[in-house]
Amino acid sequence: MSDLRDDPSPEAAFLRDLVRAEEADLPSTDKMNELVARLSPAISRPPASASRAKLAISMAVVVVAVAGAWLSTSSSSGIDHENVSAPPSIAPVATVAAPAERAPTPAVVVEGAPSLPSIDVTALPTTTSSARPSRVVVPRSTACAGEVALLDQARAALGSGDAARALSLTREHAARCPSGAFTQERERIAIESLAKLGRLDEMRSRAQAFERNFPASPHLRRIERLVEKYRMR
Amino acid sequence: MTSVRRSPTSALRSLDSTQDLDIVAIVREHGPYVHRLLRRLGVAPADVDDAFQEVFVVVHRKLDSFQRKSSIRGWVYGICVRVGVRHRRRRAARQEVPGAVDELAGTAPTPEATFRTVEARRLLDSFLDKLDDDKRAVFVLYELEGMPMQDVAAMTNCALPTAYSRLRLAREVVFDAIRRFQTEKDFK
Repeated sequence: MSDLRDDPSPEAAFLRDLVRAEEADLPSTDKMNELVARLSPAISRPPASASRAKLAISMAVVVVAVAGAWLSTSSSSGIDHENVSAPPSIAPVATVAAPAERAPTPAVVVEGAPSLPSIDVTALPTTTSSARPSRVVVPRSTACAGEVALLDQARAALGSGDAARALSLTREHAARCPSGAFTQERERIAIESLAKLGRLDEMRSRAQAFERNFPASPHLRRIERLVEKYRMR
Repeated sequence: MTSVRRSPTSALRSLDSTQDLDIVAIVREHGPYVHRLLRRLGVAPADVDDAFQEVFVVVHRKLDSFQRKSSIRGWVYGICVRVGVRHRRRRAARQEVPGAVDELAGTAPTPEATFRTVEARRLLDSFLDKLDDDKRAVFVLYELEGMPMQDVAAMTNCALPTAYSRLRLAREVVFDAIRRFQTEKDFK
């Protein structure tokens, strides 16, 4: 079956135009930063393997059971409730969902419980928010202020036929945002600008570099078409 | 250079699959395309951000088991397909149709999106909405994302002839929708 791009039918041509226009509709840098920030809590710690997670859960169950048994024994044996003993098992109960390495070993709980010292409830430390980061720090390596506006200008210049200005703006982008989030978009604009300016050797070598650096890029198809178009010139 | 089209034998493929398996780098490199792919797969605009989170949480969790013989992109896209289908079914089970918020989320122009881009997206979505999940996934991955059909079959968990058959049927449906659209436009 032939590709859509080889199909000569008017429907295929219409669809190709549509896809070409829609291809640029990618989330902005700000949007990506927001998504990464939302994602950060979930990806900032190493993933727990299934076996470790299972171990953590079973340990937590044991901790809860032992702590429950210990508490019921304490209350039935007439312990003064103003003076609440603070077995280490109480705090870990709250860490059931925590990573495996933080789960306490049952041995500590079982052996430690009977000989624990009593602590007055007022002497217990209050919880602080320092255990959890208050805000997620977005890695700044790829964020670049004004990147989107700069590329918008470049795109507009190219669209209006001013390829020289578009190329110059992509150079500016490369200098200001060497590891920006829209490097591929910049390269695409630069390659198209070079083609329009008739600097075909430069265009070809830059296209090859693009393929080398971004082999999975969705822009490749468009760049390939461009290279094909200028192949015989 | 005669072509810059990616090929399975390209030396670049190994670059894609063996270097830098840092999760943040993967999100940065593939995130924008994952976001667009989820929308192309029919995830409601209001759900795309949640689906995006889900995809990369799965990627993070399974990164250790990633088979480096395939490309990261193909692997991540396979996860997108599964997450996308789940979101669509979840929404269908709630019998929800895209509402006002979705419409806004779906059409509000981003700084990058020109009116033409937004309009193209809206039209493309309307054509793709005619397809069921299976055909839509094959059509989007092959025609819009340019994935090789072998990979598409693997990602959509079907045999290669089935994938080709779905593509053929999907094209018929989409082309028919385009013809209807053009007829209506001409009539007006």
